[in-house]
Parts: sequence; structure tokens; C-alpha cells
Amino acid sequence: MSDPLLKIENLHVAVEGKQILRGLNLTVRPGEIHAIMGPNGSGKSTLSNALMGHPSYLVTSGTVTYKGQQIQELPADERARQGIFLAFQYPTAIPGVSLGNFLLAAVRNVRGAANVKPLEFRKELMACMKDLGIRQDFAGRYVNEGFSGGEKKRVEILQMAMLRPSLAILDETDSGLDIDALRIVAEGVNRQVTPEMGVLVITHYQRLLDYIKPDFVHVLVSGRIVQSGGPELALELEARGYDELLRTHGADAAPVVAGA
Amino acid sequence: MTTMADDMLNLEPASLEALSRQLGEPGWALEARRAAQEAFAALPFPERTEEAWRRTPPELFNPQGRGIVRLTPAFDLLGEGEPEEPVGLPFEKGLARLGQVPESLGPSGSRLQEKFSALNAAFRSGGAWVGLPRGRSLDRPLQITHQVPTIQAPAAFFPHSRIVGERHSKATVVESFASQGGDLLAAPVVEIQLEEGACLQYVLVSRWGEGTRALTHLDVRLARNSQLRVLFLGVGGATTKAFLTGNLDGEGAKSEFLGLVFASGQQHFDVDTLQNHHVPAGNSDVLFNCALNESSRSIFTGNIFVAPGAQKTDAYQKNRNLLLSGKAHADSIPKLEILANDVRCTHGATFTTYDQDQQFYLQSRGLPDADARRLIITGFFQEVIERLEGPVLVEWLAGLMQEKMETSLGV
Repeated sequence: MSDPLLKIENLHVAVEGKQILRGLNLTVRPGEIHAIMGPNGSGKSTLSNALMGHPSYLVTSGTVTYKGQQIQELPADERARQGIFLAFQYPTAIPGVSLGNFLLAAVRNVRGAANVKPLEFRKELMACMKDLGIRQDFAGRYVNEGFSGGEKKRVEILQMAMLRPSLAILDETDSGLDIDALRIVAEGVNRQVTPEMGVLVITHYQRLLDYIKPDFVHVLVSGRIVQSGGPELALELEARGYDELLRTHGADAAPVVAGA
Repeated sequence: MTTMADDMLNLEPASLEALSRQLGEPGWALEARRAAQEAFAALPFPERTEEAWRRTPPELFNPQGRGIVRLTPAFDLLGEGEPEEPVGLPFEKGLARLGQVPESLGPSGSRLQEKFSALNAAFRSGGAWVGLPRGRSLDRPLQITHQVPTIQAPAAFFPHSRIVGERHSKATVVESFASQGGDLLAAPVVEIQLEEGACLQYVLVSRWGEGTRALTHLDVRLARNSQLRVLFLGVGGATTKAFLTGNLDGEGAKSEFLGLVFASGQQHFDVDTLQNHHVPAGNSDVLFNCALNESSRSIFTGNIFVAPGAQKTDAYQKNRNLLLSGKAHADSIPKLEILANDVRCTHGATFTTYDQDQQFYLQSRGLPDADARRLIITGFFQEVIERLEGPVLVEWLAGLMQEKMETSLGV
């Protein structure tokens, strides 16, 4: 087996003094797609923000090892330059900054300014936009300002295509998408996946996994992964819901005893 | 460009004669200066209790005890292209050509009703005169630069600029006011007159030196169907008080006032805009964006006046403030006086601090902290800059803001 791309060990994360992740373990190898499913409040978005390095998400213990190097202390921009990408659940608007200029700045930082020639960048951007069904005039529009939910998600995947990450984290990328948009976005992701790349798909619902086929499915409850399995687990969860798992592993449940 | 900071020139009446003589003015121009000096002496000095002066002490602009800087402006054209003769002249040359004092500077003119405008009219020591001929379009922006060099003793500078856009002329004029070191009081007056159907973009760049206190008056008169877009760009100076007024005199006139202030250190900017809707069917639009770093301060007062009978007026104003430091302070004061009943007037103000979500979003795309910060501020300015027409101008303005950003943020 190849070396892990990402290895999360006993990760504890607190937000504004509140402990959200309580000992999360996960290993992603190159070429693998992992889905993280879980009910609201289980810590899904905390995991994605903590992996990307949001300053408000404090790692209180545990380690995150990416390509053999611990990264839990690195700022977000450094992680991005090393190939980690987060497709946001709620992308932020940046008024006055055009999508084209923003992406040029991003690509220059990630690939190195010397490796980016404006004309080639332009061509590549237009091609990627076409693939994702994004109109060309969006390059001149301000980042996420006045975009519909579906447009924002497509633009997230556009950014992923341009930044070519080694590890992509998709945080609730299916929310706010109708079925056609979902298909376009999922196809966009599938086109980008390479054998060297790892993908973490974070989702509440199973439906995205019909389009992006995971190799592994994990269930997150109360800040821990409580169950792991193959793609069939997602269908199982869809059928029986999270209630039973919440009763067993939820915050109100009895503490997990070692060896139990 | 010639400069003279003459210790012999001061606010005494004898200086009027000397100034007039040095500028080669005819006798009637000197008489007009004398009348203005009398008006100045008779008008009371503004009090702190007056609404317009509540947040910036008027004493800061006391001109007494200062020498006078005389300066000839430089004229050129922005961007590349065929060399052409710029259409500007030093004010006194334009005045001599006209052969009489413009109405606003005459014995009962509006300039003689206000203390500092009267002071400027009496001791005018620079300024530009621009006549845009009927039906003529200028391809490239005309740039006027007033650059006061370093001064040793406390001094005052009173430039007066006049721009007349004749019928159906079309132009862009960029007027920059700048100074180097020294204790300077600058009190420029700019008058713009647009005849029927004229169309003008006017950018006033206030990039005074650190020791300068600036008191700026800009007055525009808009005839029927004329169109004006003003940008006030405030980046320099210690203390700035500015009164920017648009008079919509003719039906169908359109007045757009834009503002960009980027303050840092202890800088203080206090800007009053006034849109006077005298007649029906006028359109005014004000957008003022202020970014404040360190302990700087800004006050924006947006006045809209709609006269009785000025129906179908459409007036809009918005002030956005970006506070980049916990010590910075911004005030936004809208004042609407509407005496007609079939009008549409809206106003709004926003105050935002540096946004952590925006910062994280940009950093997650590989932008280092400083780059992310710069991009957010650039975006804040870009919204205003992109309202202007002409890629050369837009690029020039973006470069200017970039320069200020580099000096004040060190990024």
C-alpha cells in the first residue's frame, strides 16, 4: 500500500472554547475518495475548516499529517500552496475583486508566479469555465457577489480545477444544487480526480455519492468517526437515518469505554 | 513649473497688488481681488458650533501669519497617443483672455459669500483655466498638477481652477494637488460649469504632504442634460475639510459624485457633499468609500436638497466605510431636505471591519495574509474606480491607490 496522503490521529478541535472534534482518526491514501457523513452538528464543517487551517478552529490535541509532514500549525495559505483545497459550504463574497483576477492571484501563489503566463492562464480559465457550464462573463464579475447558490458551488469547483490540489475537501458541495447542477458539479469533480489525488466528500445526504463514488464511507457523530465501511454504508444510512447512531454515540449517550 | 514662496507676500492688502503684478494681471483683476479681500475681512470666521464645523475645528485653517506660495500648474495628457496641445492655461492667462471677472467672482458673486472662498479670490496664487470648446471631445484625459515643493516657513497656497465645458463637449480632467514637507495651509477652489449637453469626468486627487491642512471647495453648475462624474480621491494631507457641491440647474442633468478616501496614521478627512436639485427631473448619485487604517478618522456628510417644484428628482447616496484598525473612526451623516413630493431619494451607510471570513477564503486559495488584505482593500476601492470611464484613467487610479497602500500598509 502506498504512503498515506493524509493521516489524522486523535484530532481534537475546539471552536470558541467549545470542543467539537473529540478524537477523530482517518487515513486517506492517494487515489482514494472518502465520504464523511453525519447528522447536523456532528462536526463535519469543523473537520473541513480545521483541515484547511481556519484560525478560529483550534486544534487542542492530536495531529494532522499530510504527505508525511505535520501541518496542524501551518496557516491556511501555506496548506493551499502545498496542495490542499477546500470547496466551501458557504463561499464568501469579495466585493470589487473580479473572479478572473482573484484566480490569477491564487494560481500564481499556488503554482509559483514564474509558472503562470497570463495568456495561457486565460485560455485555461475559459476552458475550465466552459466545462463547468459557467458563462465567460463571470470572469469579470466580483467573486461570489450576487451569485446564486448553484453558481457559487460551480465556481468552487472551477477554483479546484485551476488550483489542481492533491487533497480536495468538498464541504456540503451538494447543498443548494438542483439535480442538473449537481450532475455538472459532480462530473467536474470526477474529471479532476487523478490516481495521485485524495478526495474527502463531506455531506449530509447520500445523493451526491450517486455521482461521486466513494471508496470508503465514514459516519461522524459527536466529533468522532463511529462507523466506517464501503459505499453500501451510505445507502444503509440513507435508509435508516442517523437516529440510532445518535442514540448510541451522541453527546447524551454514555461515554465510550476503551475496549467496549 | 515655477514656484515662489515669497516672505514678502502675506495676508496684508499690499500683497494683493504684488500678486496681481507678478501674475501680469490687468487693473480690473486687481480691483476684483480688492473687493474679495473686503468681503473676506467682513465675513465672520466660522465657529465650531456651526454644523459644518462640528467635527473639524475651523481654527486649523486660520491663514494669519503665513507667507503665500505662488505656483504655476503643469498640464499634460494621461496615457499614450499623438501629442496634442493640452487645452489648459494658468488661471490668470485664461482670465486675461476672457477680459472680465467671471460672475461667481464678481462683486455679488457666490464666491464672495463664504469666508475661505473670498480669501481664495483675494489672494489667488495659482490654479488652472480650462475651456472645452463647443462640441469637442478630448480623447485623452487632461492632467493638471499643482505640486508645492518643500517650504521652510509656514505658508498658504490659494489655487483657483475653473473648467468650462461648452455645449456638447466631452472630456476627462484629472487635477492633482500635492505638496512636499513643511507647514502648509492649502485652500483650493475649483469651479466647474457645464453647458447644455456637456459631459465631463473630473477627478480631484488630494495627495498633500504630511504637514498640509487642506480646505477644498468644489462647485459645479450643471445646465440642461449635462452630465458630470466627479471623483474625490483623498489620500494625503494631515487634515482635510472638503465641500463638494453639485447644482442641478437644468432639467435632465445628471450629477454623479464619487469618493475614495484611504486614511492612515493620524489623518483626518471631513467631506461634505451637497446635491442641489433646483429643477425637475435631475438625477444625482453619490458613492463614497472610505478605508481607514491606524488612528485615522473620516466624516462623510451627504446632503441632498430638493427645491419645491423639483419633481421627478432621483437622488441616491451611499457611504461605505472599511475600518482596518480598532482605533480608526468613521462617521456618516445623511441630510435630506426634500421640498417636493414626487421624488425618489435613498441613502445608506455601511461600516465594516476587516472581514475574517474573506481573509480565510483568500488564504485558503494560497494568498498570504498581506496579499489577502491588499486584495480586499483593492476590491473596496475598485467598486468606485470602475464607475469611471476610460481604461487609461482606471489603471492610473488603481496605480495611485496601490502606491498609497504600499506606503501605509507596508505590503
